[in-house]
Amino acid sequence: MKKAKGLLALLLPDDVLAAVLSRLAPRGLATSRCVCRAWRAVVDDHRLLRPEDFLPLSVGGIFPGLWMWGFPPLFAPPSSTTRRTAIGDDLSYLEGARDVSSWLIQDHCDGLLLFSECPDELYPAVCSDHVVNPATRQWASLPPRPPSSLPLGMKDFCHSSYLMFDPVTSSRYEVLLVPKVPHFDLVVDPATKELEWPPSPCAMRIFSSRTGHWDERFFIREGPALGTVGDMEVFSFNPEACYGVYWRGVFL
Amino acid sequence: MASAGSGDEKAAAAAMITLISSDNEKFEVTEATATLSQTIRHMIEDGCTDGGVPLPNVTSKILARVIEYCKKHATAAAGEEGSSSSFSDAAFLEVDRAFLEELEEFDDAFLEVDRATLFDLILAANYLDIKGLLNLTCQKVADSVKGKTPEQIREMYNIVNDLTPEEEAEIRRETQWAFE
Repeated sequence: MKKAKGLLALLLPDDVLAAVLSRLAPRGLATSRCVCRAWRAVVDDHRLLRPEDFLPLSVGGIFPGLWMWGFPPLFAPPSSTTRRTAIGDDLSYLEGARDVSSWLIQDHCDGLLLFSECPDELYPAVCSDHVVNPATRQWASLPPRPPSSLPLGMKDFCHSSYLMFDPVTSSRYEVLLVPKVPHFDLVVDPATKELEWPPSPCAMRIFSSRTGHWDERFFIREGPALGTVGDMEVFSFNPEACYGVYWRGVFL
Repeated sequence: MASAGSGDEKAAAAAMITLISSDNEKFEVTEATATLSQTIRHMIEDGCTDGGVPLPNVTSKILARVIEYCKKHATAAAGEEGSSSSFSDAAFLEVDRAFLEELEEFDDAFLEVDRATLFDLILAANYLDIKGLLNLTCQKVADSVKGKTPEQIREMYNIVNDLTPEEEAEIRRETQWAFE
């Protein structure tokens, strides 16, 4: 067990060094990767850091009042002003966007924002969608929404838009349009009010950034209907109170 | 009574194991002490400990320390087994707690060694497969790294930074949150 003192740390076998470093919290592991190549190799080869540790974990700022503002202001810690004041009000990077003031945040997911631009609230079919990453200043306008194949009488129903993004597994995102029963003031004919809600199969449109286009998928309801379309009108006043879990192509 | 006593001594003598360090020093230890090492336990099970167990990777200086650790912890294990029948629960818990505290103090004092010795102890614990000792020593090194910058760690362990500036920038970018 003779050794040159300078090589002390290098003389621990990889698995023993891994046993040592595995006792460190993620911050200590991230620091260890920066010590030398051997340490970086041990941390990486033994997968001591989780994939999500390789993403920025600090909160850069918060967009408040998502539903009331167009493009909202950003509240960011004062220490990071130089880099982050650019996020928020400054829309110069959204070149080509026609009128950003009419953009409304519909959803957000792991740092991405989903905007919709609805020139006429009464005709939600002509809404267009935009996905923005305020940190990297990348953004994309989605192609026009295809027509929905909801049953006759539900053709003009509006949709809630949801953004699905998990940077740990993929840099791809999906946008999901879930149909919802409109408010009282929109005319729904009496026959439609008697129909079951949600319909089964229920058509939902999904945009995938991988394919670059919208697809319509049909979901089969498990169990009885919640009620009729007429029953749902009461709830549609508070659409933000609707929760669901969509995971790997299935609603849970 | 006398014959029973000599019988016990024989049984005890039979359970002694001789460990031989890399510099040929012999250490007589009880089987209970020696079997804290999984490596030696397997050798005993395979019946290949007659004439002593050569440990070419461990110096006498380090082996003496390792045996010191094993003796203490073997006693602890035996104490836990033996005492439960002779004390009431409350008394047993009291003894147990006192013993655990003593063991902790022993471990703390045991780790008061220079870095070279600490690394040798880790290597010995790894080779001899002594879980408790490996945990103890690895944790000590991990604690010494905790909260330090890469520069401080390199300085502490005389590590040469062989990362290129580009690689280092890449690492910092990958986990930027850790360097803010």
